[in-house]
Amino acid sequence: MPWLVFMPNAPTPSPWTSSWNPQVNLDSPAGRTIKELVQLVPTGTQITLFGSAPLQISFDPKFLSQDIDCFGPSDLKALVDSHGLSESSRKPYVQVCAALNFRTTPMWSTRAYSLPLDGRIIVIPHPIDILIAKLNRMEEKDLKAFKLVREKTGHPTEEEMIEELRAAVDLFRPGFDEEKANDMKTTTRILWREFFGHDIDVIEKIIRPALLLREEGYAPDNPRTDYKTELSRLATHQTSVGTPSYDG
Amino acid sequence: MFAKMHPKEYDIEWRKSRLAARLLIANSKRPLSPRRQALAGLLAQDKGVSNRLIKHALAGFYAERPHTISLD
Repeated sequence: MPWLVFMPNAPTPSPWTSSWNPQVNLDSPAGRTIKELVQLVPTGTQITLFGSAPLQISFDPKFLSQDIDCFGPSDLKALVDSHGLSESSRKPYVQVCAALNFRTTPMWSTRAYSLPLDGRIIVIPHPIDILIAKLNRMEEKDLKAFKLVREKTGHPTEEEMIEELRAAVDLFRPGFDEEKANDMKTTTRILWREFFGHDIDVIEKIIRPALLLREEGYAPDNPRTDYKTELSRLATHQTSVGTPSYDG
Repeated sequence: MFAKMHPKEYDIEWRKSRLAARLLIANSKRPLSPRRQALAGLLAQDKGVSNRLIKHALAGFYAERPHTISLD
């Protein structure tokens, strides 16, 4: 079966980024608001958190989170608005976003933690996915999130960060004209200088290896024979009878 | 299991590419008639017919009839 190809250069995931099982503190400010939030939706509903709130409830109740970024069912925003949870006078208030706002690695949902809460499910993404989403902005507060996670877990290491950013290589593409997007290459260099203590060549260390790995995955699908040229030859009587070369 | 699709349900690019693959296989047995040669020329010019789809079509035909079509 030619489409099942072993990719020798595919990275081995770090044990830390494979899964996680946080000790969730729902008595933190964000935790108390989350308990109110789940009461607004029917049982069985899934709400996904991102931003700083998951770090507050998982690592440090004192870690400041002005708002709780989340996404869930389509009527969640209306429910949150009608119950006053989105009022910015609340601390923290709830900001209902689209799943598209959580711009992180494609693997995030495979390693997120699902917390059952009063019959609803709170999805808490892995810290590495939350941190990578913060790289899109990388303000001072976002750098503090990196430092908090390293203080509590000893991760991410430089190798883990490089591996995860390679998996999220499409985040490095330039933004559309219509959107305000930060340059991830710049924010990544800022992270490396501030967090790992030295600069990084983003193209050489992250983008180019990721694109090579992707190309390797497509390689079995790329025909080595130019069948269309063979067809042209058939039309102009320039071919001899013989089995078509099939490189599958 | 995938439901078996009738070839008429395939999209147009896939049908044309299968036709191209059939012409290549037919040519492996005997020279094509002028009418089929003209068809090969049309398919060679068709942007919807790609090397990748022809390769997939050949793979499908070889998988269906491994004993009747010889491989290089």
